[in-house]
Amino acid sequence: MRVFVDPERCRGHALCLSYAPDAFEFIDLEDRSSVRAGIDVVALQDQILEAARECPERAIVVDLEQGE
Amino acid sequence: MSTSEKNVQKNIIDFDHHSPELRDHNTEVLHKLIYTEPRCPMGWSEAHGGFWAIWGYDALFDAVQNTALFRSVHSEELPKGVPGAPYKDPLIPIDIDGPIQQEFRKLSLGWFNPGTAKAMEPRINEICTELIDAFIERGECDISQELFTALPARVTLEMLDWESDRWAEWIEWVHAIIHDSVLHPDKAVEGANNMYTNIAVETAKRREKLGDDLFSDMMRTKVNGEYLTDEQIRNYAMLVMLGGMDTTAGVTGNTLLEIDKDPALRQQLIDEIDFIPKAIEEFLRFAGPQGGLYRRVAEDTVFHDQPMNKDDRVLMMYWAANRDPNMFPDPEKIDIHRTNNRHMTFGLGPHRCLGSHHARLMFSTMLREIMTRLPDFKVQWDKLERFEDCGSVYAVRHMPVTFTPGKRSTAS
Repeated sequence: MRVFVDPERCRGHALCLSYAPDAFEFIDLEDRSSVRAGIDVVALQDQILEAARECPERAIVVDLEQGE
Repeated sequence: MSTSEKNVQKNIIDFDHHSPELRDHNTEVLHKLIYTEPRCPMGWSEAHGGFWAIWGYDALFDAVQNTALFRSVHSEELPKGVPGAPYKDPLIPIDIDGPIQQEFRKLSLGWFNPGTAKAMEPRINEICTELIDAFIERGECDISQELFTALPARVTLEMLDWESDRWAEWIEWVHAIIHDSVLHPDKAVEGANNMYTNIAVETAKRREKLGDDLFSDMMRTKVNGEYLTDEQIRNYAMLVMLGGMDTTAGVTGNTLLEIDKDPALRQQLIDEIDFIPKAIEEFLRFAGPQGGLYRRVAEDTVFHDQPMNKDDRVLMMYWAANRDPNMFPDPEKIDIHRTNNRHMTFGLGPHRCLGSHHARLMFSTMLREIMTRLPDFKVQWDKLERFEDCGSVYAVRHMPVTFTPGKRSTAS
């Protein structure tokens, strides 16, 4: 499973930080979210999928097939 | 593709966003747009010299992302609004497009990021407690003026480090600009002039000594290598006031009315009080106050099968898109556990509401405290007063409520 936040789409709504606080962090000066470094995406899969589902900009890309 | 290449017909609608019908029967009016067959995501109204309204979710999603086609800039000749606003100056950064808009945004991101909002939580809690303490023993209050209008206004003034005990004056001017621009333009101009005068006073004071506040950052930060002019500082501060003071109050008021109408919903919020920070997303969707923001079409085009012409005005109807049945199943049902709730209440794209993190926190805090300290509040519907014009913001001015009196939580 792979996940990333598309920096071209993310507009800093920060809802992913509320749905998946262990998976995402906010880059203040760029006004956008990104995936935290070194996280176990499989262990956090449920909250990551919830964050992706609620992202109003559809900026969170999740590929369940891809390995790390 | 030009209009002539494809034979497309305008979807003509009978719609005026400044009408009393929209204020008094907003669901019915929005439903007429959404559900009239054949269904169309947008239409052309002849009111106020003609404008497009976009209400379909997918069409509006495409429009807000395409700032090259749907422009926020305006000018003396092509003023903002439908009809054009009586005050001309562009607000910063909402009335700017392109890379420079993002540069102007950066100036205030230090104040508007999620972490800064979170850091303000204790202060927001404190103001909320103080405001509720002032009326909790009475068993009645105007919860609009005494709580949900006052709190965002005070928080906004504190961020600017202006005298927050003058919030009632500022809010009158803000309300005049937002709610009276069309029906009582003289009042809106007077409100804008009062704000200009007072911002000039604050600017002169701050020139002597900058502080650790949002307003000082407007004065000390260079954008593209240049300090902001006094006019730019004023137009930035105007936006913070207009955006910060009114809409959070609007959604809180609209939400309290829905709770008052629905005993099961009221009980659910009392039972799931810790879920309120997430439950607010559904109220933001259903009870969002933003009647519409404006854009102008940059060139002749066909957009979602509709022929648009250069310089056409467009009303972006976020609150209608939030009720699009193609996007939100059973959209008229308030379900605080709704999933796929990608509402547009804060806008989408490069102009996403700068204050959204603060707005969520203030709204969530007020709702939690109301459902904790006066959970049996009853709205006095016969004394409820909405703002006359809901074309920009659909909100309540006065909302008298009664409730079982409680105790103050701090010593008076």
